[in-house]
Amino acid sequence: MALVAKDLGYTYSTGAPYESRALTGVDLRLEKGELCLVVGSTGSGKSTLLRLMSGLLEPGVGSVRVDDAESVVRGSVGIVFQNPETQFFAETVSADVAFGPKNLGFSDVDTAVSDAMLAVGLEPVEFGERSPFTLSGGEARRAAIAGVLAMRPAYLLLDEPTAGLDRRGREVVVRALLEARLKAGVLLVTHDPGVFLAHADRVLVLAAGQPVFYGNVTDLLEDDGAPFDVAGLVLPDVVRAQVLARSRGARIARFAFDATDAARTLAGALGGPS
Amino acid sequence: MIVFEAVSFTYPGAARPAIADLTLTIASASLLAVVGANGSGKSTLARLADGLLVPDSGRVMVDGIDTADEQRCWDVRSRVGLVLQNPDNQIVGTVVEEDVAFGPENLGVPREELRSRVSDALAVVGLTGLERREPHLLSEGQKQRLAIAGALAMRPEYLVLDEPTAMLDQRGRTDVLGVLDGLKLAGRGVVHITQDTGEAARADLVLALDAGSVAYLGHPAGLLGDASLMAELGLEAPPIQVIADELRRSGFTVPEVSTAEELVEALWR
Ligand SMILES: Nc1ncnc2c1ncn2[C@@H]1O[C@H](COP(=O)(O)OP(=O)(O)OP(=O)(O)O)[C@@H](O)[C@H]1O
Ligand SMILES: Nc1ncnc2c1ncn2[C@@H]1O[C@H](COP(=O)(O)OP(=O)(O)OP(=O)(O)O)[C@@H](O)[C@H]1O
Ligand SMILES: [Mg+2]
Ligand SMILES: [Mg+2]
Repeated sequence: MALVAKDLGYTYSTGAPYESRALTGVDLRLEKGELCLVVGSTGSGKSTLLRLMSGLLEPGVGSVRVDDAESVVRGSVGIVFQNPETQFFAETVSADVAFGPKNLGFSDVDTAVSDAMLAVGLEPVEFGERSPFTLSGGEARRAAIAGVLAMRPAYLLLDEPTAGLDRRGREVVVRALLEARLKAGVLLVTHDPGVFLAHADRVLVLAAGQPVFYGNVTDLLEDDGAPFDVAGLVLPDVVRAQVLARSRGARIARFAFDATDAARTLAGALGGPS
Repeated sequence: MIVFEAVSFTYPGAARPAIADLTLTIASASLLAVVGANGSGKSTLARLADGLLVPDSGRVMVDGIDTADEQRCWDVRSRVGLVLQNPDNQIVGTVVEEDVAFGPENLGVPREELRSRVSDALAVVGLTGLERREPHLLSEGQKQRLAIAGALAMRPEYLVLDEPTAMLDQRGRTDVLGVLDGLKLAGRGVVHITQDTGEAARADLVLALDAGSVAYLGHPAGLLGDASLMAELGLEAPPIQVIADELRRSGFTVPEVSTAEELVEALWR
């Protein structure tokens, strides 16, 4: 049981003068209970991949299968768009979040809604009756994530879920996604992989629509994160500090992904204050 | 100068003001960073700065023009460029180059100059080659760059950018920060709204908002060095600063550093 992409490819506006080949040859397998990160520079095909994996776009080449079914099954794959405002349609935040669970015939719609809102740090009392279109940027992103969490999909696809969130917003969203992963597969596109690297089972690195790396975090960082270079990306500061230290002879066996842990790792490599 | 004089603003039907009694001066040839938790009023402040919103009480003066003066609305808009948090709300042209040309065209910029302004702006944000693409067929990061190009092409006296790097990769972020530095050196007043305190640290002044009010206004170091105020405001210190602080706490001597390179250089020489 998994969400599986085989040799996936997509070209926008085929035949038009501005035909653009957005994705080529992506193989990816997301099991329930797994977290997979997708990174790549601007325009590298990340959002296109999520649209294909969620069934919003039909593959031009290759296939996407959910739990061995021929096509994407309704309600099994949830997607949070990069621009959350394109996701809203209801008059209130709670109606918007309730739409999915209602449609799927949940018996506990109210609980699903308030649990999901609390999980992203939006107080139902304060935000439930607000129009989703008047939320601030960060509030809107949280509401969009709540809408998909409430559907409890088997596979959760998120495009930049922490962009524009404040510190607490990032903390609660990361926690909510890790909790969702206990039951679901989570596929996450991000320009800020930092916090997620500690938890990711796999990382896909895209460059101009092509996979340049697909594997676990240890392998990704083995050669000082070479796939990041190839894709024109820069490693998160916390990791880069350790990579640079290692290149100067510091003994670092395992990278830390949290700043406090990284300080401990560097202190260990320095061998105590001089 | 853009001067906020005891400005308050409450959205219709809202329970509390989004901006409360805010006094602030935005000077030319300077870079002001604005930080604060989600919902603290950053985007509202941006919309007040260019007259998209007008205060309920107090006033906003742009080079001496009151933004509430409807007759001078264009004078204000041409002086203050605004890059919105959601670039979709800013797209006006049917293709990329028209979108960028829209602002300056409305200002009456002559054809020849218009062409060079558009191609310059697109080059600065790295969108050269996509001139004839329909804006809604761009990736989100490309749209964000387009919105920045549109504001640059107007060559306004003041530029207010609402989280312009949120959808960009690290290289794109560095490019945009370079553009902002360049604008400041060219004498423009730049307001940079950001969740990234590392970006805010590069500004001349930083304003931290808390529930629409000024919680801090001063040199970035005064805010970033105050761990309890940072925590109170829901702000996260830049990771390199966190590492350096932790090492100091463990007894290591670490100078002021802001990049991974500087940190490692200081520790392994
Ligand atoms: N049209 C509106 N009607 C009612 N309330 C609004 C409206 N627009 C914004 N608000 C509220 O005003 C407050 C300030 O919003 P603003 O967009 O300025 O915040 P922000 O600091 O930019 O937040 P973020 O970091 O999430 O972008 C928020 O609580 C928001 O919910
Ligand atoms: N509807 C469309 N029609 C034509 N081209 C498109 C369309 N949508 C995206 N593209 C192009 O396909 C490529 C991949 O776009 P995609 O949105 O997948 O990138 P991305 O990796 O998500 O980028 P970002 O980090 O900026 O969000 C880009 O060059 C983009 O311009
Ligand atoms: Mg995208
Ligand atoms: Mg905002």
